[in-house]
Amino acid sequence: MARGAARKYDAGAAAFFLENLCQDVDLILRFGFALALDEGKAQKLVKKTYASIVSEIPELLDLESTKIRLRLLRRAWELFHEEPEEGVSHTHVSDLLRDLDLATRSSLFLVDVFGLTFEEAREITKMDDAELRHYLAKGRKKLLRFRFD
Amino acid sequence: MAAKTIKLTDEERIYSQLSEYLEDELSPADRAAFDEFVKGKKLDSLTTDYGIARGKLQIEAQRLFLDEARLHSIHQLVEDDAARANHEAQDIDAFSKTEVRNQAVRFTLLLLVLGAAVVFGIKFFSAEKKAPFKALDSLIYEAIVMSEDAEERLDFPTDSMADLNNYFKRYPDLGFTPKVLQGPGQGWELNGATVIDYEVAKILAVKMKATSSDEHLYLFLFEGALSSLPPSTPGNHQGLMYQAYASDKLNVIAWQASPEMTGMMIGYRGAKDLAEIAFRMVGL
Repeated sequence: MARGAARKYDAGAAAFFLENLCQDVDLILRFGFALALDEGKAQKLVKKTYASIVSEIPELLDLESTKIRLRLLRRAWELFHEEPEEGVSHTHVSDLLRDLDLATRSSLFLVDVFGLTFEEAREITKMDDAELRHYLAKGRKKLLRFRFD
Repeated sequence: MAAKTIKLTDEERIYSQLSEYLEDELSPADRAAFDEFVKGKKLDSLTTDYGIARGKLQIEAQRLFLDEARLHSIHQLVEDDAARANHEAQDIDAFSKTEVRNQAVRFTLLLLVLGAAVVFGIKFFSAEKKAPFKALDSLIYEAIVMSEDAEERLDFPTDSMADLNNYFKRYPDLGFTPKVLQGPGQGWELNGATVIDYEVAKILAVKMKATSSDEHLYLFLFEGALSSLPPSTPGNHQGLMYQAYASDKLNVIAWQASPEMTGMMIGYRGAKDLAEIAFRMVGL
């Protein structure tokens, strides 16, 4: 992004952005990969996610880091669904995820990789409890059959 | 997705409770149901296997991380006043450098354009002027017309070479300096002269007549280079290098009468005779 397009904030808000929001860039990248199955597309999603959220920094300042993380994950989820585009890559993770549907991949990552509670995962995906458990069970079965070696 | 209503199977419920079981988050009733299911299905290692697989997935996921360049581009989405001031200073500095560079480029381009203009000008003005008309065809035609209707065509009838030279010398806007002409020599007399104005060029025309017959000779002088004429049989009369041409009736020789002027002698004589008369009248 060109410098001219950078959001101007006071030193405190700018520091908050760097020290709090930006701590989750890798988490958002991994979630983006679970969604898009492609690292390049995941990187673009990270950029879009952060670009879309910088205007909300003033209201994020008082939130707990967990809430901020959920906001970022939810935003990434929304942005991906605006332009759902999947790619192809060849890693252990992509080999595991390739045959799984989007809801299963998302559930598995949100709960088993990021360690979110069911409630938090539902807040992001807007699934009900049964739905989330259905997809999570499906993902875990595949995970248990998968050989990482 | 929220619109779907899913009724979970026992297996789905157990698999979905794996993490809760490991973190001891299940109610005693759910935990008992979990244990009963696992025991009944003989899945004794299910929780252990799940814990291992989950750990491996987490490790694999951690291999994905944003590189420094992309992380930097994320950081640049926000800047504080100090960073902005720094960036603006850098931008101004960069702009100044760009401006200096652009000025240098513009100056260089200007020099190149001026240089090209000078080179073009030198080439243009120093180039040999070519006859801006089809001299050979036009002047053979003029010679034929003059032989048929001399009175109409000759603006300055005279038998005096001095008057003739004076006429050419005073003629306005010739575009070149005419040579002082000498007489055609024994056996020929001067009939007169004219200046043919082709708009693109002015041609000095001199008509001579044989003293003992009705034979005529025509001398033409015009601004231009001999090289503009089609190449032809070359000849040399005492250093007068000419090219010889022939039409149905008339013979023609052409030569470079001066650096800026081409001469053409047209008549019924052969090229050597024409060249001899030309040499006598115009010289080298």
